[in-house]
Amino acid sequence: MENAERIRLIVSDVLEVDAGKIHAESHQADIAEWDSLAQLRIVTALEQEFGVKPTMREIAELTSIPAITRYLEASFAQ
Amino acid sequence: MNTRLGFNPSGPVAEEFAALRAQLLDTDMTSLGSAGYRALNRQLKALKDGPPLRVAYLGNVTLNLLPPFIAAHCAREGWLAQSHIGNFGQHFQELRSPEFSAFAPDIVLLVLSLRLLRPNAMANFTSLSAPVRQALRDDVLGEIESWVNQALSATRATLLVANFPLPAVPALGIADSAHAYGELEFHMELNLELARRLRAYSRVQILDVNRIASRLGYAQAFDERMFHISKMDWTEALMASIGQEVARHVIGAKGTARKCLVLDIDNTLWGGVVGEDGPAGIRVGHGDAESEAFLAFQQRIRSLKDRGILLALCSKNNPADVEEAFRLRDEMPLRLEDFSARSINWEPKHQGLAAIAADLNIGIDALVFIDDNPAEIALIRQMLPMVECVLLPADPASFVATLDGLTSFEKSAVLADDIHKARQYQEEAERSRFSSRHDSMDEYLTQLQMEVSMGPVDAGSLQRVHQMFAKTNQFNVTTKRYTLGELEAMLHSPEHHLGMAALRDRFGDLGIIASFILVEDGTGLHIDSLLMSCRALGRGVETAIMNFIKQQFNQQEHLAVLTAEFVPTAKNKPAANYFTEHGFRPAANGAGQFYALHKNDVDIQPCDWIKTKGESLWKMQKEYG
Repeated sequence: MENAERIRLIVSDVLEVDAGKIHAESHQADIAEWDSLAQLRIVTALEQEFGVKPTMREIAELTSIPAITRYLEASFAQ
Repeated sequence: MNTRLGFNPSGPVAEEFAALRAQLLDTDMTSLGSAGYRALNRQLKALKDGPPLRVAYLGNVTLNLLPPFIAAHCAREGWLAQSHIGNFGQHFQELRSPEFSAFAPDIVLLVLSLRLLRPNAMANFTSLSAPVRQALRDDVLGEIESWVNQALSATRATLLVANFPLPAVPALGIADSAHAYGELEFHMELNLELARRLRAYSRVQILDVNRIASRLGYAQAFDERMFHISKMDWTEALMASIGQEVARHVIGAKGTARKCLVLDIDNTLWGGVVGEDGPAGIRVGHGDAESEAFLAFQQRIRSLKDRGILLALCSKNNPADVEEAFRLRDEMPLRLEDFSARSINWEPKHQGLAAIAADLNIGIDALVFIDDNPAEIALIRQMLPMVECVLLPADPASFVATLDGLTSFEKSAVLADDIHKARQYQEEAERSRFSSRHDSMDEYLTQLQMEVSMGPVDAGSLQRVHQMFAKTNQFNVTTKRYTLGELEAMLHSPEHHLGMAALRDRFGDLGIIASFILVEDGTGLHIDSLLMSCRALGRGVETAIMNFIKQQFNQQEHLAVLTAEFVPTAKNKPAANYFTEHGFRPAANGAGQFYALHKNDVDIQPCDWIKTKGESLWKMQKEYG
């Protein structure tokens, strides 16, 4: 599965939001369930799923599907 | 499963919960992971009903991420957890909030971060003098104890107070221990003193966060990023372990521990097969590594017996081989007499387990079964899903850890009664052999030389009485499962009279075997609850108890009528005719089975095979009034 698709499914699973409502361009601001605590749960889920460990600054920026995709691709490239 | 208040244990909704629970009993919860916990919590949310458990979370850290982990582990132990999260840092105010009292928690969790509780002192710890550090310790302890006292009066819940993780690296490095009252000493003494002070309160338990985090490793347990972002540094791995620890405390607080550990024999209690290797060839004891591991396992099993858990054997062997092995290998810590019931034969094991439960007069759902053979475990899971099954790992070195991983034998305290439990069941076996030697029941009862002492429940007996309220199914007229907090409140209420009965006979002391609650209302006295342990059944003790209640009723001139209720359950048939057999008349009104006895109709029934001693239940009032 493509990374963007995996991310979309993880985010929908954590937020308990129908996967159809989250698309490749979704942003925290568009989704009511994506509050600051949900943000931490998403980060923990990504850490377990992809074996990454973002810094506090990076965590603060992981607020959209594109941002998460960019972060993960940059991590894998290293 | 025990019948619980506010939940109908039969019907489709209950079946849904029971099915999920049976699935969880077979799940290795330690391997769930983030996605596994999410999936499980979605399933729990979809359930409409289950035995409720209300957990309130108070403290000065962000506790919002914790409830799903606690809900998952509590579901495995038979509870559908609901949560109430107090406002950040308002653990005192919360106790007086209407939301908190409306929630009526069963469990209140208090988690405090020292860094947030005393930020200046903790940030400058290395520059504080020893006396200032000691004052800081006393200040923190005082604040917690004051919270505990306020919480005890605000709620009937069991309180779980988290202790403090030690610093993984003290600020002074290895020099820390060279200074009086260093950082480590401070934290260790804080935890130690907290445990000592809170021990005095029966409804308060330490949630040993430090031990759970150490077991996991501090590096895996805490995440400094999360502390700075959200004021909570527990990782999901720690929250999962804490979830299980809370579930252990819930079992202890509710008194729902399973009662008996049933063990296979070959390759479980010792290495090898006694029928083939012979008593001298089985591996247990000192010598080689494998024998040592089986020895350690037997020692751990033995300590369960001291916790009040009954032991039993269920194996496919020739009984004579097993007896010979126990006789010849006397270096084994377990003796054949340690097992209160045995089923050693070639029948399928689900029949053996059923026979053991019947022998011990306990429910099949009170059994845990351990075997090294996956086929036997699979059979029991299929035939008897209410039994908790444990498949031993390949390496006997891990057997002790496997046993320690079991949650279902948790008790909040080991009572004097627990330590003697196995002996009491043995004495029971002697009694039944004794009874078969007597021709008439009357003669048998007389020869038993029973003595029953009845009187008010005192604070020291409250835990045992609570244990009986949680566990007694058969001779229990209303099966009300009062919590320790509720019983404690009744002890101080002038309308409630809590009574208990202790029994001894020629074979030994059976301890406290019955308890009852009488509630005064004007000229009426109502038997709210009356229950008797199954080990006292069939001896006429219930008549001695009713005589005592009648005498107490007679002595109070203002009382005119004694009333009672019988609430039928799947298990309490032995008590169904209790009131009519003791002179009560069915009361016409009401949908349930109500009974009444007027003062003029009271008669004391003959029960001369029992010597009785009674102490008035009204004594306390006379002292104060």
